Formats: sequence, C-alpha cells, structure tokens
Amino acid sequence: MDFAFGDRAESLRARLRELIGEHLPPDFLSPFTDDPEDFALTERFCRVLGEEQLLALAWPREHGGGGGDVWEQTVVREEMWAHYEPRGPQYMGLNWVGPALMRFGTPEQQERFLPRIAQGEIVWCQGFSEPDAGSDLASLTTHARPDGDGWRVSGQKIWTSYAQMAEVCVLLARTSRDGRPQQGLTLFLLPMDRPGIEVRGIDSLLGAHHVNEVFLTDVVLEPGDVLGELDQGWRIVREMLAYERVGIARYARCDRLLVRHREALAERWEELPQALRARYVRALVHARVARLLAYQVIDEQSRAVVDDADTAAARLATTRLDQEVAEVLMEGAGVTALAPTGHLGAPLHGAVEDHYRYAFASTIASGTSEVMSILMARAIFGGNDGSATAG
Amino acid sequence: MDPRLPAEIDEFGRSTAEMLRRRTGFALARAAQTGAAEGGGAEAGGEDPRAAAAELLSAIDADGIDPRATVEEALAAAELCRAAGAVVLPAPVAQRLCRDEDGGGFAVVASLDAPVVVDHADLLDRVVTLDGRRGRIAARTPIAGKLSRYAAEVTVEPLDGEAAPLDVALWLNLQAAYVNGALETAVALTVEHTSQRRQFGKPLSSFQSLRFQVVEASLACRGLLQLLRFSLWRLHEAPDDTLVDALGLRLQAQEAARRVLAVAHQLHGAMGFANEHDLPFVTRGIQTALRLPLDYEATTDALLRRVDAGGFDTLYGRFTPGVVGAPAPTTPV
Repeated sequence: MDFAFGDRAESLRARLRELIGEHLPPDFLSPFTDDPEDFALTERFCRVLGEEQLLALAWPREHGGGGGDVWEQTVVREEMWAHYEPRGPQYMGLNWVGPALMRFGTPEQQERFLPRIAQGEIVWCQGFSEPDAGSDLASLTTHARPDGDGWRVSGQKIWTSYAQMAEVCVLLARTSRDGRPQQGLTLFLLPMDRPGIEVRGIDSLLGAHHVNEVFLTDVVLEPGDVLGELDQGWRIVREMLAYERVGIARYARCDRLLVRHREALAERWEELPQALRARYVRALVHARVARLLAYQVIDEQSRAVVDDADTAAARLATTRLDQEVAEVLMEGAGVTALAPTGHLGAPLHGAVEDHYRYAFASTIASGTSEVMSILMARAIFGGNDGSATAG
Repeated sequence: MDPRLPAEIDEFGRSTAEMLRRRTGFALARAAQTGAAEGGGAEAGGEDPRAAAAELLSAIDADGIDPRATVEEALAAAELCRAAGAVVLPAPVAQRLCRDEDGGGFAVVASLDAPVVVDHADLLDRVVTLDGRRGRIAARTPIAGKLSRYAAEVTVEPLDGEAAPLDVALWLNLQAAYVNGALETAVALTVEHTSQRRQFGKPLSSFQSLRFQVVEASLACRGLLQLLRFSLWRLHEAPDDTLVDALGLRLQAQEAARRVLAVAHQLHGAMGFANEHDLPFVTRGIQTALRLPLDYEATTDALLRRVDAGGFDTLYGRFTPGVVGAPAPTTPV
C-alpha cells in the first residue's frame, strides 16, 4: 500500500504547473467566455502540451500517446481540472472519445481521429441528452431512418457543451424500435459541417456559451459514421460514461480553491465565525475522502475490476464536495463574492462566484446524483430495480 | 501509488472477522450490554464477557502486533479493530494494541486537569492527552450507563515525560477502525432487513427512497475506510501530520456514525430497538468510542486549532500557509 505518486508522476506534476504558470493568466477560468481569446488560449496551450507529449499521456504509443501509466494520467487530470481545464474542449476527446475509439472504432476511424485527438486538433461534442430524455436517456427520440446505404437523422439534442465549436458530434440516435428502449440505439460520429445541423446557444447560470441546443433536420449519416455495432450503442455509452465519471478530478479544484482562498483571507481568517472556519476544515477532510474514493476507482480501472458501487460512491462524494466548497467559499468571501469576474474586488479573480454557479451542474452533468444512487443501490442490493439508467 | 490493502493483511482481516463471527458473533456484546441494561451484571450469567473477549484477542495473537513498528503492522492492527468492531466486541481493543513501552494500555483523554470519563477504565492504568501529557489513573468511579457499560469517571495524577504524537494518533486511528467495523455491520444488517421485510406487498428494498438512504449509509462507510487506510499510511510518511490526520479521520468516523445509525434505525423501524435484534448492540457498543475523549464538535474544534497551528496537507500545499499576521496579499479578496 502506497499513496505516493512516485517520482515520475511528481515530476510531471511540477512540469505541468510550470507550463500552466508560463502560459495561462492567473485569472483564467474557462474557455467559455465572450472573449474569443480565452478559447484561442486553450488551443495554444494544447499545442504546447502536444509538443511535450503530455496531451495524450496515458494513451498507448501506437495511437499517438505517451504510454504513461494511469497515475500519471491522474496527475494530468488533477492539474488540468484544478486550473480550469486549460485543454478546453480537448478533455472530452482525450478522456473518453479516444478510449472509446480505441475499443470500438474501425481501423479507418482510429486512423482518422486518434492522431488528431492526441495532438489536440479536434473538438468533439456529445449528442446524448434531449429535451425529453435526460436521466432517462434510453427514451430518446432522435431517429435515424434508413436512406440508401446510410440514414437520415432528425431530432433535437440539448445541453450540448462545445457544440458551437465542435468538428464532430458523438451522436446517439434510435435506429430500431424493437425490443427494450436500450436496444436499437446507435452511436454515430457526425461531422458538424453536414447540412441540416443548427446550433443555438443557451444563456445559463453556468456562463456564456456553455451549453447549446442542436437541431438536426434530415442530416445524412454514412455507414462509416457508425461507432461500434448498429443498434448496440447503449453498451458503448455505458462504458463512455464510466470513463467520464472519474475523468473529472473535481476534488483537485476544490483543494486548490480552499488553499487559495485561505491564503487570500490572510489575517481575516481569524475574523470569520468559528462555525464557518469549522466548515472549512470539514471541507478539507471531505476533499481528502473524495480524492481517496477516486483513487480506489482508478486503481480498479487499471486492473479492469471496476466495482459499480465504488464508481458511484466516488462520483457522489466528489460532486457533493463541489457544492459544499462552493457554499463555504461564498460564506467566507462574504459580500465580495457577489463582485463579477474581472472586478477588482472579486475574490480569486472571480473564481469563488464562478465555482458557486458551476457547482450546481456538478450533481447533474454526466449522470445525476440520483442516477448514481440508483446504480449504487443496484450494486448493494443486487439485481435490477427496473430503472433504465445509463450506468 | 497502490491504494490497495496488501493481500496478506486483507486475508488476516477477513479471517479474523470470520473467526470472531463464528466464535462469538454478538454473544459477548449481548452479555456485556444486557448485563448493564438489566442491572444484574453480565458476569451474573457466568463468564465475564470482557475476559472472554480478551481470550479471543489472545487467540488472534493481538499482542504479537506492534502497530508502531511499520505501516503493515498498523494496517493489521486496524483490520483487527475493524473485525472486533463488526461484532462490537466488549474489549479495549485499540487501547490494548496501543500499549506503551511498559506493556500497559492507555486511554486518550481531553485533559488531565478535571475529572474525565474513560472507557474500560478498570483495565487501564495510564492516560494521555492529545498534546501528549501523560497521567496515571488515581481513582475510578464507575458510570455503568446504558451507553457506557465499562466507563468510569477517573481522576488523574500527572506523570513526567510526554507521549509521542504517533501514540495518540495511532490510538485515534484504531478507535476509528473499530467504529468503521461496527458501522459496516449496521449497514449489512440494514441491507438484510430491508431485503427481507415486506410491507405493502413488497420488500422494503424495492422502495427507492429507502434504497437511497442505504446508499448514503454505505457511502459514509466507504469513505471512512479509505481515509482510515490513508491515515495509517501517513503515520510514517508524514509524522508531523499524524495528529491532524487522525482528528480528520475521527471527524469522518463521527459523521459516518451519525448518518449510518440514523439510517439503520429508521429503516429497521421498531424492530431496531428490540434486543432480540443485533442493531441496538451496535448503537450502544460504539458510543464511548464516538464520544470519548472528544465528541463531534470538540473534535472539530481540536482539528481547527491544529490546522491553524500547523496546516492540513492538500494537493496544493498546506491549507494554513503561515500567513496569519503577515501582510495582506496583493490579490484583493
């Protein structure tokens, strides 16, 4: 038993922090802003990482990766998320689209996409949720009907991050109405420049351009667009979501925010009510617990013995931590927390209020807490309670 | 990085838990606690349950484990405590495993200056404060309450010398291991009960609101177990942090206990009160471990004071940067 990352991973952490310090302004919070420079900055940063073979560090070398182990990749995830994911939209391709392509893609798809993902050259979006299919994803109605050798797809996707900048959408659509709702779904790799696709931004609590609606009207899908087998998309979605659920090291951002805010408070810490200071230290303990639960799942993944209950537990712990830390920091910042990003009085350059707004999404995106609880209960009690969840 | 318990320690923990289940189950906990509840003394029925528990610990060769020596031995000691907690064994297990250089067990107390309550006080001679001040138990007044069968109010005479932080931290860690084992049993009992008990024509476990409550209890236990192992590993890796780590672990154990016991009792309904069921023995059996020497608020307070003094290790350095009283940072807050 050893909880140390080891010299190689720690050197990597130091190098990443060096690069972040060198290339990112201290007030960088997201590529999702009204300032196009923020997105351009993530593109430049990805090129820097790509040049040092750090972008796809954990990928096998034959797919353009660096051949690093899972703990080195964990370090990358922690550092990137703690510093507001300066890879921008690339994390999606690296964390789960790439691994899914390695596992289910055709040689042609692998050759076409994997080297470009490894170099940070391609932006993906995920077309899963629909207005009437959120947690109950299997009830989606976007329909791909046969047309010649391929299909034509019509429907609406929603809450689609990066859709406005994506080159390819991993689209989940119904290709058959036979059998259970989970059957008859197919994944397609849909180029976003095909005619019939319209993207509309949704203004939201999360910030500018964070999520979008995607309207599909008779969009052509070709046989080569299918990822995996026809009508077997559900199985791949389950695996992809499992990657995503531990791919985001939320605890790392929480740790960093707590430490930074304590530094910024300086002697004013002593003036906070004792009950509030107690909440800070409890949050520190909970952040450590969330981190350790994540490490347990990462270890299980590395040995291909993943326990669904452990995965759900890790996600429940880390997403709740986001919200706990958000509340604590807002209280600690007092009225200054209301100052907008960029305002001189905004604590941590606006990171406190940004985290508060964003934390509401933590327990919803890529599987709600309720879905996690369903999965965990199923693992604890055994059997199936009849609910159709993407887990 | 390898967060897994070494296979041989895992096996030791499993076989110890199985042995205790087979040899006593809840029998000794019942004998100890019902003796107190009925006022007749558990010993009235024959065997002293604590003597029997001590014999079981000897059979496991508990005294052959030196938890101070290595991380592996500390992990083995914790597995033993966890197994003992799983049957709420009426014995000062952590105290015995943490025996000092003279071979005597000790209790951690909040203070030497006022009368304090110590569990299993009649079997112990020494006390140590969180700050390492040592004392000898001079007088004992048994409490023998329903939640504290073997506790006594003690007066203490100070002793020279200081205990090492490792001693105190280890004691707190092993108490948390005992609590962890007991809480895991409470969750298992709740899963079993809600799977078997039928209301409205179906098992309780088919109601999602009840399933979700079990999830919350299980989540609390899983987090506690991982933090326990991490804290034990840190005993030797980060000796300056052992006490802060141990207090953080204690906090987590107390939060987990609050959650697990509330869920377990709620979902057992009235059956959860009855002594024919095992659950009330878990609830009574861990109260002293949860409240002595520091209850939840006092633990938080102790942790806060030590975090202020020495920091708390995170992925991004110490939480307390030693800037208290330093010039204000240039970044506006």
